[in-house]
Amino acid sequence: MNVLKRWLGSVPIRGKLMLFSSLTSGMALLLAGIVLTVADYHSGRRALIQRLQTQAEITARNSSAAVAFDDAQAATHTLEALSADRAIVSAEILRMDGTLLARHGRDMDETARQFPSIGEAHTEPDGLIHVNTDVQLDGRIGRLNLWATSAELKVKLIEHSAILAGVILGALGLALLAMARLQRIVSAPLVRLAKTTQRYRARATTACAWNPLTPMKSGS
Amino acid sequence: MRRAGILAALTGLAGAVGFSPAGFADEAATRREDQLKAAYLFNFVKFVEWPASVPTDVLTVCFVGGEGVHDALASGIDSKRVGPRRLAVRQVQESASATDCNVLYLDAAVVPEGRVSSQDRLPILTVSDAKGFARSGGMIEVFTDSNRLRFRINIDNAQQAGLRISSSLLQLAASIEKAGPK
Repeated sequence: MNVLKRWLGSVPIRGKLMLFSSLTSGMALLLAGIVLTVADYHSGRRALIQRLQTQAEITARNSSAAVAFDDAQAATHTLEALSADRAIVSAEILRMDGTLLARHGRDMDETARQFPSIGEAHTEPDGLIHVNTDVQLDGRIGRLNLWATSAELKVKLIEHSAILAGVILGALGLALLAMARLQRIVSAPLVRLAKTTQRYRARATTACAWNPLTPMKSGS
Repeated sequence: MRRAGILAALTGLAGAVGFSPAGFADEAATRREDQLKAAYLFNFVKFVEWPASVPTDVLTVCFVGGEGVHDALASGIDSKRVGPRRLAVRQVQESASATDCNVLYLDAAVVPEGRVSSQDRLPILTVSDAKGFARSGGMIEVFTDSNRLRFRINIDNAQQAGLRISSSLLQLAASIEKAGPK
């Protein structure tokens, strides 16, 4: 801390002004960036869940006939259409009694089917997002489960963080350039004042060094 | 020991009334098939749209033969609904008119050749397990393939009767016939 204080003390006024301005601007930018990134991540997650729920609803409607006629082949065929969405890692259709009718993708264990309740999303311990919906045909005849990875959110988060870092660095660079020019307005009078003070001190020192007993030289 | 005695007595009783274990198995298989056909019939009607002129309060399924399927569908009929429509079942004679039926199930034993009259193209969904039914004027033909109940649909016959069959049901059909009866 003392080292920092000593170093700050040695920095000229111009440098100090630029440093403190950069620090405050940088902190404000960083804070705004973090808030925006977190908000963006949550918004992306909500959008992903909504997308998954829509996919689940559409697939459940399209598979109602297959479930009604217990046609595993047709149900699997319907689920295969979900492979168009890269986020979906597993999809399955359960009969009314909870037995498996069709599956596409990864085999999920029994505990993964426990949650969530219909229309809600649940994040599994391995980070997968799980949504489900009922397969209806004049009442509930089955259930559709979907699991999706949130990898696209992480990729977006990294991209946004990189963009944010670039924007902050660029903004700080521009701010420093602007400050280097503008700081003169503030620091120049101060520098002049400091110089005047120094000169005055130098004169005062000279005056104090005058001895009345010493005869004045003519013309001084 | 006592259980073995009861079993022997039951076996003897079954033998006395003309039943054998193989007979029981056949009967169970037939009942199972009838239940399956009834379930299919119940599901078919959920994927068919009748013209607006048809009353929408009750959906009547008529049977020509097929008592097993009739009984299976009639079981717990009060709880069976097709959308807002109540389900009703009844047996009709082969010669009787079926104009007040919405669905007509024809048993293969009654129409072995599978040929049916077009019912003057009334909006009646015709279903049968008779071979060649879909090619002989019928709309949905149910058949067994590799121990599995399947069906083929004649979409032209349905359209001519003013019925709209859902694409979801068409997707599940083993085949879709488009030509009318020859």
